Amino acid sequence: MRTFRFWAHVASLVVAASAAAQTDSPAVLKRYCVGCHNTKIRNAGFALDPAAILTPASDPESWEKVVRKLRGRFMPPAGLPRPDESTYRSLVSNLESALDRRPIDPGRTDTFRRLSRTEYRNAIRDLLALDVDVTNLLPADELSHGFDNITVGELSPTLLERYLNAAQRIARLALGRPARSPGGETFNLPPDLTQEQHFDDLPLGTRGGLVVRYTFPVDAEYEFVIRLARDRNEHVEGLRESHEVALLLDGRRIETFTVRPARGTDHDGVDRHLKVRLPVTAGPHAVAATFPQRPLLLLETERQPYQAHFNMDRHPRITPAVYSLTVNGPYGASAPGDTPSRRRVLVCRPVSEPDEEVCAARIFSQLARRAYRRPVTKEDLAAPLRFFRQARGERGFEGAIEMGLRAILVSPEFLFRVEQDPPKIAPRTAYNISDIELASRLSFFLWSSIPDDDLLAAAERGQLSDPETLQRQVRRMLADPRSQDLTANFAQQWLYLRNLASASPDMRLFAGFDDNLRQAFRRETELLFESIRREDRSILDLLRANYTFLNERLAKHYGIAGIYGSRFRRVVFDKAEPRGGLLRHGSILTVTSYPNRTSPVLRGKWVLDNIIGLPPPPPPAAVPALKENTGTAGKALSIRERIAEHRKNPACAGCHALMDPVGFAFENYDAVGRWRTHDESGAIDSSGGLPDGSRFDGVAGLQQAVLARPELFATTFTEKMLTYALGRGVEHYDAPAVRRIVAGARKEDFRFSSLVTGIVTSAPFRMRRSQ
Amino acid sequence: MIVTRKALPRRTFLRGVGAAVSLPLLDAMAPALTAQSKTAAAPVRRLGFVYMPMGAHIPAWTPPGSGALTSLSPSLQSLAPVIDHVTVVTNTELRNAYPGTHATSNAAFLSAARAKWTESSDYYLGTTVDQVAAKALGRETRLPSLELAMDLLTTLGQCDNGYACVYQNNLSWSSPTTPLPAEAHPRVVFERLFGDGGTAQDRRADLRDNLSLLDWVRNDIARLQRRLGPSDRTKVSDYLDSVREVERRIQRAEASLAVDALPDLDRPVGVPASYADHARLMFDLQVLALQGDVTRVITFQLARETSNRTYPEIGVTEAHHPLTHNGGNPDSLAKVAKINAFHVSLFAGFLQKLKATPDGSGSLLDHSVFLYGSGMGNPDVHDHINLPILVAGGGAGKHKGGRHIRYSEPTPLANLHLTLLEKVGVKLESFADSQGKIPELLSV
Repeated sequence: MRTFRFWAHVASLVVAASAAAQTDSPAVLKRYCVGCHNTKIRNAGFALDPAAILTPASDPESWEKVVRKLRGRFMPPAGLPRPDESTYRSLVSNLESALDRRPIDPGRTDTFRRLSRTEYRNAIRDLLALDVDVTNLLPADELSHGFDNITVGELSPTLLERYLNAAQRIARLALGRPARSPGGETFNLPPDLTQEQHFDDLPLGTRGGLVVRYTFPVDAEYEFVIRLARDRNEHVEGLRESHEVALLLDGRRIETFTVRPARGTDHDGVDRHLKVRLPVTAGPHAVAATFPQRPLLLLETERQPYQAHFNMDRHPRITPAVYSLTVNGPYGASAPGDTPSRRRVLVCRPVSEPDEEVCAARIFSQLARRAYRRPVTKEDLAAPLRFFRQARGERGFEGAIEMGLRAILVSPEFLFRVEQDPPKIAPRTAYNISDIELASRLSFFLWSSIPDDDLLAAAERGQLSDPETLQRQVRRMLADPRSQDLTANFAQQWLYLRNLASASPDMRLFAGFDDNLRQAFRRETELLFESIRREDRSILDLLRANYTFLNERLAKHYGIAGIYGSRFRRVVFDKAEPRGGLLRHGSILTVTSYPNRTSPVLRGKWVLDNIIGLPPPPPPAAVPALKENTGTAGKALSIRERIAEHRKNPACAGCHALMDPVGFAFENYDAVGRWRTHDESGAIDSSGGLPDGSRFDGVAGLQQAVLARPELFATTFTEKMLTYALGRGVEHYDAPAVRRIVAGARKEDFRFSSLVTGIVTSAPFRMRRSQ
Repeated sequence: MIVTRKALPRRTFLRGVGAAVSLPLLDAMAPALTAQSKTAAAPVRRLGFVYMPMGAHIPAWTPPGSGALTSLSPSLQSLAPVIDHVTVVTNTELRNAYPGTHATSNAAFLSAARAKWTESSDYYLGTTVDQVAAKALGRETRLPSLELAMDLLTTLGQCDNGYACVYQNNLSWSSPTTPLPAEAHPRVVFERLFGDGGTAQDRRADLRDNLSLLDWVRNDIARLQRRLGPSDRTKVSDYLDSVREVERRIQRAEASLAVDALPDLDRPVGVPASYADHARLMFDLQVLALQGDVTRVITFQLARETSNRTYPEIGVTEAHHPLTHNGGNPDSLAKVAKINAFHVSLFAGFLQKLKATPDGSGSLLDHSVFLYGSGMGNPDVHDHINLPILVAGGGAGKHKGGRHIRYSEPTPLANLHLTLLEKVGVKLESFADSQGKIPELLSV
């Protein structure tokens, strides 16, 4: 691996800077860069030939790196002589325009790309009007370049087996044909969920519990079983007196149980009677188990607000909690019922036997068109119809349709997105992808799902490549609720929100942390991103927003008064508050911390990776062991002192000198994102800096320094979104396209839609390089 | 939730939050499941691999002396009841895991191969030792191998050090370009092993359906292949290999349906809240898989490299990964040793269960051999020498425990892989960077 030498060692080789702007690029390079980056010294393994700057396109990969460092003002390192701002600007712009004169290379997305697990779920939802829990059906996808839709080329035997089983279950559920024996599904609540207050998706007047959106396969009886949370001794928690437990169907109370404290130590019987069997109509319903709130119960009111209560040792629950809700059945199935899925699939009903095949062909034809995302051919229908005929005798018309549907769901044409080079094209030539391929790229980018009829029809008519139609489609798709997946899928991965699920702060230090807070953290960031997307705001608002979204739980955590209830609402701050944009969100502050302390290194790296877009190189291969900095007895060391060693060791300093000062700016926020002015070592010092040499105090200063050059953040955002949109890493040959997108968006103050439209109309998105 | 054809008056897998996990199925199920009852003549050989992330605090790991294993080190104390079945192997190395990273520790552990440095889908490693074994041992079982893990969630931003996440997540690779996804959800594992209910006749019908669907998938892939350029065709032929493999599995499943009915077991309802309960359940499922002869090759990752998991159940509330970068702080080292000992104790419990499970003339442990260890030695400096490695089991009379093999010079871990392959009847000249076998392990 590369080695990194600390710039300071060669500082003396660099000549002094002058104040006047210089436009002679080779001279500027010679003056400021070549002292370290020459064929003899090769700092960071990199030598610059000043003359080559006149023809950067001959080695675009290296020169794009140079541009990137210069654009962020990362080089020359702060402390060494640097060009003045106007020299920087002219150097960067000279280089960029030379690099942009290269012929277009749109890159090559993989020919075969399997639907990711999320895309599969959404495709089933849009194809069959059916919500399925894919985590039980398919393995998780691997991440590359920070996203899970990149490494999707393989089809292992295990995965193929899972696809076969998934197709069987989904087809059965869609047609409303019950499994051969009654089955069941259990929904558990996280053990560290505090259930003492009202949850937003449950009726007012209840506390705790859960709602499950469950698809009932047929009109039949189903059994509902509720279990209460137990501690390690198998004792039901928090049950000191009798409580009511309610079962709700679509918000209506259908059963109320009473639970009483156990007499002895055996709690087995306490919740054994919490089950009921009831007829339910087929289709999706909301089933809930919760506790009706009791009026002014002393125990529930006279206590510290928002201490977590879920752990027998430190925070015993003071009221019972739901552990799981099980739905068993169907029993005595009568009819398949009328469900959205059946309406979607059974677009015709044969009246006589000769009709059947015609109807089956119609059904398969409309399913295959959506599933394969292209016009169907006769050949496409042959297989489903063959399965239909084979199954017809034994399984009846609908059973035979189910079998044909299974065939469509395991077809590689459904499971894979295939992009093909046009016939007879010369190798390594840029070409426009077909309208049909473009439709899929669009819908998987904006919706993480298959195209709808409107989009597919435009593609089939060959109109999608028309710029106006394309823009109209983008606007329409962004306005569609399905574009929420840009938040749920793209933003969650970009910002590492998914890591919240495994965040487990030390309960001795952060006694109040529970799953309720984890959920609130995630929601706050999602809602901010949603507000940018839906209101088409500038993406700079992600950083500079003077508003955020809070509910009572989160507001208390942040120390903001006057917010009551479980509902999230927009809160606007009229003066400087430690809350607002992304850099002040508990979610991000927590996922970049360790369970017991903050990590300026992780926080700094997060900013460089995801906001500034100049990720530090990977740590050196063999990490040198750091001397433990224990300090003198009786005085706790500050985090600053503890990680100072990083910057003393030359092998570490090169990168830690970049990351750590960025992270220090966050020190006023503890490991779960609470504001603090002191820690165990004394008053907080939140002075920090960026590698461009700017120095500041706290997150406000960091934010200001980042926003001073907004194109850096806009470029990072574009690169992340382009990676996600294309399903491949962004390479040096994409840089001209990225610059165009950012320049275009800049004219519209970086509005969300301007970036999305820029991506959709860019060469890498609309074109592909032949093999 | 219990879904069984007849209600069984037993404890379910899990009763509530933090409830003790019990798996009382073993003895009840033994008659139906015992593989030995069918093939009493030749003892079944099983091979397993358990991965412990981020090396170990070596001073607390390595037992004193060499030769006979007379006293156990602090981290290995829990192995006392099965010490006769355990061999400690000290001073092995993984040269191909350098430059030292977490991704390569995991990737090289079973492949001993060098991972191609890439973040894209052009990753390349090597076929792992378990998959070499599975090609021979797996021919007769329904699943050629079983890949298990403990992490249900993918973690973002932590395996990007220039290496695609596939290296850090997957222990098992059936070819240099095919990582095998591991499953961490107990219920999904259970259903893979034992299906999800229905009569034998129903299951046979399901299998037939799937066979004819596969037939059509094959045709559909062939149709695609004709439209593609030459280099994309190789990808397609990989897909066709997968189709053939699944067909083979279904045919095996059909054949085994004829022999024995599916066991009537309680399905695990979900994922236990505590790590230890979850790990024990995953080990229990392995006992069941081996006992039922559903598979003979297993890999199990106890946690991922760079895992930030905390272990409050043993008083470690700091995250594992940062604890290992401790600069020799005695307090942190003690906690790392505690985590190592905890992981070993879960493995020791598993070995005891195998020992208590009769199999033919002996126990399951007698007829299995397991490799337990890490692809990293000292995690503070990311090195890959002096790896913490244990070999456990009876290896069907081919492994005698109670020994400590201590090399004076670093010796390729691939030597051990080659030796284990020989133990289960797969004779190869070499494996990855192996330089020979480990004769002490071969002599019984």
